[in-house]
Amino acid sequence: MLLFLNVIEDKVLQSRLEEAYHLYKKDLLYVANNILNDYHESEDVVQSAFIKFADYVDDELDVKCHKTKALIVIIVRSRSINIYNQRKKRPTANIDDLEEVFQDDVTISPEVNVLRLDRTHEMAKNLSEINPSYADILTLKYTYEYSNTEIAGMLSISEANVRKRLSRAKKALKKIIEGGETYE
Amino acid sequence: MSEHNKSSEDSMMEAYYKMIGEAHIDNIIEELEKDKNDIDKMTVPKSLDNWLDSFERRRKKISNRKKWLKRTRKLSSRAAVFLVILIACMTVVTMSVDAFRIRFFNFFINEKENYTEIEKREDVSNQGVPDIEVENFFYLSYVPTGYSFKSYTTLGDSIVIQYSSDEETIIFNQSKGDANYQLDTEGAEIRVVPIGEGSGQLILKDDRIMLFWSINEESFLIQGEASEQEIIKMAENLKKNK
Repeated sequence: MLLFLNVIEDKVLQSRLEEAYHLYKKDLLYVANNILNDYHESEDVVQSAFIKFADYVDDELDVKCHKTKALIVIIVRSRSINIYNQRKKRPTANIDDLEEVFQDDVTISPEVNVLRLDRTHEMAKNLSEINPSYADILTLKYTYEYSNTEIAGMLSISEANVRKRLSRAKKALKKIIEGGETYE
Repeated sequence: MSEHNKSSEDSMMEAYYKMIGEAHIDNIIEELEKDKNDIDKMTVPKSLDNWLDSFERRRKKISNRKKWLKRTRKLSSRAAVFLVILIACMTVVTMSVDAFRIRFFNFFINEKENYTEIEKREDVSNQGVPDIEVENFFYLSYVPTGYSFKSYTTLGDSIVIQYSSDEETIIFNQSKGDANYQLDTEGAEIRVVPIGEGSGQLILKDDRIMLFWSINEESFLIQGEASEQEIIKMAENLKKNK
């Protein structure tokens, strides 16, 4: 009986992963290819994203909901940007900046928050335009409620980098809310 | 800013970030919807589909192995507990029930007897052939220390040999053919005991012991005040005068 249940459980998880793959493979290739402009590299990114995504597939996952689709897109996009940066040989973030980042005060006055509650889509869009990874990291941390370790694994970056991006994302959002044009 | 206010503000900010995240998810979906025509035109390489198949197979294999290991560990610990309980139960039963204990220890005793059969046995004889004026007779080549041949009596086909110490007497009775012994067994304990390759009946009454056994057409009876082991030893050391 236990063996039978195990087989059923395996089949359920397997079909969920396959379902997600068949539903979103084109979207994911499109997202990766838009950044990398290389079909083979895009294919590799989709593969690595699915390997990571498989860790988060359980019997409670709703494959067809927007949240699941957005999660895989965020993973693919982040990994694609990493590869793009490596290709361009951009310097990676200096860990020495961290101390300064941690000391930053990113608190926004409550009055400002209340005023901007009806404009969250616009805010998110602005944040994403400044740097897509800022909106992604805030979403993974506060909407999906993943830990820094989990986010680091998903996006293939270090935990220190996760903390740094989070802090920068908050600072950027604060600028946007307070009426700043752009932030980098 | 007080600790309480700081904590409330952090919670509020987290809720706000969550809303931003939800809006970001909507934006991602909206952007993909906008590009739907281009996305539909994308060709998915066959190699990607093949990769998924092999990835799923690998994943299933690993998952099955993990489950098998988990089940094996679980079963092993249960089997170990079961074995410990079984051994404990068998030990308790063996030690507390007479029948099991005798069978258990006899197993080892028998094994030991089998082992000694291939060794040279020590000659326990301490008695020579008694001076009896009968042609064929049996005598006890071993009697307990202090005893020696005292006298004999013949009654038809029966011969009664008496061995005595300073205080006690052992009587050895042998009969050829049909013999009729009338033994006083009232209130006595009667047991079957092994004698060499055969067996005899041991009768214990008060301080006295009687051992009755037969070989072919001869029947024997030893009685006296000796220990059970001594009586059996005497019977096992039965010899004929020729």
